[in-house]
Amino acid sequence: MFNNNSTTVNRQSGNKPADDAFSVFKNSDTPGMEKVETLLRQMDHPVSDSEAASIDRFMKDGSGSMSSKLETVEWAADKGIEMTDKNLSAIQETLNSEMNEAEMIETLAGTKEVTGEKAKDVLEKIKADPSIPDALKTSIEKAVESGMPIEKAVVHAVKSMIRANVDVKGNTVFLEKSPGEQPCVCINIGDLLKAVDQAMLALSSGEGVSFEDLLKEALVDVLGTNALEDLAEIFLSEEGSIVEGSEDESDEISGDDPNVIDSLEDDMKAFEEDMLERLEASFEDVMGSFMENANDEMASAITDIRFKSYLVEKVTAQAIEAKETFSQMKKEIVQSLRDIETPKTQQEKVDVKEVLSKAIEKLDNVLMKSDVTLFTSMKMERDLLNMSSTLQEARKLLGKGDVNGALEITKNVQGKLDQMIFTPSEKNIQLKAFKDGMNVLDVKPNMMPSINWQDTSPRGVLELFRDMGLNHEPEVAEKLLSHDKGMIKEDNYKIKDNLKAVLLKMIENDEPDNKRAVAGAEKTLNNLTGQQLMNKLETKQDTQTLFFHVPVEADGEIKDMKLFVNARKNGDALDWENSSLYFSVELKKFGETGIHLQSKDKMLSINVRNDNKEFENVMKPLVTALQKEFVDVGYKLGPVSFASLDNKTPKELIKPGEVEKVTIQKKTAPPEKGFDFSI
Amino acid sequence: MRKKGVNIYDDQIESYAKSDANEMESFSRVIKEEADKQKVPVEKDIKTLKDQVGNDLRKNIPPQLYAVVSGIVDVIGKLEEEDIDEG
Repeated sequence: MFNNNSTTVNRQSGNKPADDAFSVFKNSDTPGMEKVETLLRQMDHPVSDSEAASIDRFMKDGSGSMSSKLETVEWAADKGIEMTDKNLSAIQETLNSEMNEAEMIETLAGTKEVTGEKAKDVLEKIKADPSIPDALKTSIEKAVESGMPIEKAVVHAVKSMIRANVDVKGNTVFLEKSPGEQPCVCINIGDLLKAVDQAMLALSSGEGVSFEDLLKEALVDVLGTNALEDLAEIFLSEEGSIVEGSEDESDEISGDDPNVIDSLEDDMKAFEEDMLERLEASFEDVMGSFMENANDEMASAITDIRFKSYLVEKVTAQAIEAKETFSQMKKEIVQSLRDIETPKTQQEKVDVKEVLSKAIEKLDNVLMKSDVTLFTSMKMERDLLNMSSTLQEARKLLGKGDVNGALEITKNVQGKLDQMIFTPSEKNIQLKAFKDGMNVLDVKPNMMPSINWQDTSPRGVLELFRDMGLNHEPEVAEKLLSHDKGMIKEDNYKIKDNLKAVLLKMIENDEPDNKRAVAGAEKTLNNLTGQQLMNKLETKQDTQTLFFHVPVEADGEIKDMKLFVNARKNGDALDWENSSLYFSVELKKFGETGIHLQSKDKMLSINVRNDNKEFENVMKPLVTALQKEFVDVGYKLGPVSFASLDNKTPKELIKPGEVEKVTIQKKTAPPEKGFDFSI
Repeated sequence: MRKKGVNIYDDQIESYAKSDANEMESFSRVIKEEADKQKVPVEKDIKTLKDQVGNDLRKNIPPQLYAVVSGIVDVIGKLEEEDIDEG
């Protein structure tokens, strides 16, 4: 099934000779172990004693049929994943269960809110702290005894410990220097408690810093550095000192031509004014969305003028930051492409290739990691994607010796990018305001992410995976390393709230009155873990197979669409030009549907599989429109075909052999052009 | 106004991601300890964490593949709309 490179040692478990490693199966009388041995021998994938024991337990006690368990072992071996009890169980769960994220989120919404628990911890810390006056401690206890919710009593206490004004409406806390004075930071009560907890912890380590200063730092950590300047103003101490790092960094551009600086500043001012105006103008729609989702408590915060001003300013600041990121990227890429001259020597060709690679990397980073594509229209996102694809083509042409061709398309990209203006789309501006607002208004259990199922942009799909937590661990590692090593990090870096993090926390708390939700959480978590393992790129293999559950909103519900990906590896990433994707989904009216897309040197063919007679007529125009979108991002039109479902499994359909034939086919026969609707 | 750069990459994670299983295990242990200190929930089992921590979906999967997935997600949504129209 998979294309395995021959290895004589286990990639994960040491250097044991193959025969020794396989001999561990000989003593087992568990049904299916002989098949496991045959499979692993075929794959030349020896295992350690502990892995053999895990496989034995998995084959004996794991859920599912023997063939499904063998498939799990095969996936683990193929991906070089250590075969522990947990890893095997996670892959088995992922491969054989539906993933119903929406249901899980609904379950979580009905579980106990955590603010009370967090507040209790904080209250204990306040009571234990000798620097806090006894009178204050007594007043909090009295407030709680009189029936005030514990979290509000804690916020009440915090108010007495700092000089800033703290006002609570529903679950939203307004922080301001004095009542009615700008700026005002809105924060969810759960987030405030988290920051207070962090500050109390730092206070107990006794470094002589005031609680107020510690709270400022903790709030920056919780809210992200975007809130830093406002917090610095709100928490301005008597000496006039401000939060570290909040100093004006405008001197970074000193040394540039003053006229250029003026023009940039004017441009940014105009953009800011435009953003503020657009947000003001469309805020009624956003308010409407809030009110649809609001209860009485939330409504009191929504109608507070400070809430609206906070959101308008916050979203504007985010858009400005995205614009700056875009402008910086644009300036750097345009300049580097402009500087390219016709390479005359081999070394110069290598240098030009390097310039192109860096430009592609910058474009891809902006597409995948910055806030730019969270604001732009889908059209602009596709245009940027197209530039990345085109520069890759230029790099390829250069490699083939077609210098003129490479330079021509490079200059074309340079011109297009130079003309491109960062313009946030109306829809995305409103969506940002809504998401930010809901995060402040609503106390979700452990801060659930606001998942947007409708965003079907390329970046939207990545955000969905991130919302699920499929990228949680790498992002945590990135944040911790940046923090730990004092490395430069993205200014507003904050670990994205996600389903996996919520589930991990929930299981950690293991509340006895919440057993049912915890059991559901464990199952979902296992599924997410399995997906993460199956999406790992195995470094030693040229061809990679990945598996995802993609949540799709259709007909008012969230469906589970399975996605199998097979692609060659291109450096550290998958080679999109030579890849194969199979989507499998059960539709309400049309039944089981499979869509197979295969790209061979960017020539994208589409094969749609369904047994419903009406299906082809309905699907054909949608596929035609889809093809145009794919061409827009860099693919070439390939044939489209419709077929009935057969017995082929998705993995057979996307088998590596198909992808590996690519270059050979390209050399021998030019790919077909146009449409082919034949079955 | 604050001036901000793109500064997106973290070379250290990249180099770890290319390292072998044993190095990934040590690296994962460091990440786990640090995450515990900071009260950030992460996968507890080091032997699972080591296969997750270096696998960044923002880097391993190029944007063009996300574009294909997004196109299909969109079509599936529209297909069910057709369902309603016809039904």
